[in-house]
Amino acid sequence: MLCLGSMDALLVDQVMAVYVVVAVAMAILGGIYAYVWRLSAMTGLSQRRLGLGFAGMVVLWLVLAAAAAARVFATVEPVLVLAALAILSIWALIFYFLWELDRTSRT
Amino acid sequence: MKFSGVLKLLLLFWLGGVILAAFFYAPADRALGEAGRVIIFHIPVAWVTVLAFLVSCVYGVQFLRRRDLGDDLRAAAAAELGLLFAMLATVTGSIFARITWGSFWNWDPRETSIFILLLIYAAYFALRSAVEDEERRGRLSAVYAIVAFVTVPFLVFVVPRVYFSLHPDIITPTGKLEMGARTLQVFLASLGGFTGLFAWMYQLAVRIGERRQQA
Repeated sequence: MLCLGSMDALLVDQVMAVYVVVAVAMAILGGIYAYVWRLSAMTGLSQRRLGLGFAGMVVLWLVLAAAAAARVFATVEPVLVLAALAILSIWALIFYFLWELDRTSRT
Repeated sequence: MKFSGVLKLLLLFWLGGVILAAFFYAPADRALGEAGRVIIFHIPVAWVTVLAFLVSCVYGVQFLRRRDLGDDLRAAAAAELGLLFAMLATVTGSIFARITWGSFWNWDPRETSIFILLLIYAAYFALRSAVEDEERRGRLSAVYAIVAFVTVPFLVFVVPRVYFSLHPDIITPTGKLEMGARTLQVFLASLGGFTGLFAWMYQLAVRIGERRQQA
């Protein structure tokens, strides 16, 4: 799927392993996101905003994939930084929606 | 700001810290390399599954004792979250299996037991949707939730250890956790963070469910 041709084999293994960690974290956060979406339908919280958030999540993931595909990395460390940033931003997004859901469910 | 708001903000920074620590504090695993970091997220999800099913069982017992429909709602909300986290544990385990064993699904004892658990709790919701009368639904669901939880320790903790499994086990035969000190610290912090996240999601699900019941 990704074009990692210019990297040496060890680095490719390391990058792919980080991708597995990101995929696992994204799957967990994505599942939680879907649950928040379902709950939000019951409270009248703007689903448009949730949709935009989800689109943002996909874009982030694509940026990460594109960065690797562009063969910009010579070591695994920048991939770790990007991976952590991607997961952190999704977590912050989910937290925001949980916070909003909490607020709207009280009113 | 109220105390609960402070706790939620604490959760934001706590889990944020866990994410950063998973990549920059915990070292790569000796055997699994960078992919070893998966356990920091995968196992807490499985833990929350067990916790949610336990809560469902406890409220099932409460319903049978008090016949309060609120307890039925709490049991169902917990089972719903348990099912969600069980699915996430299955999906994330499957992704991990792909890189360690070369295929997404192998019918390994661990995979088979979580699959059976998923079926058991999917049937809980099939049962609930099949009964219209609230009191009867609550009674049947409560009994089912209790019986279903009896299978959880066997399916999650016993079966995968009785039969040969490719699944890595972090608990050694002597009962110790097989992890480096740093990884263990991040792992325990993640367990705490996911438990807090479950508590918040559960509280929201119950509150929204109560509002729908009143409407």
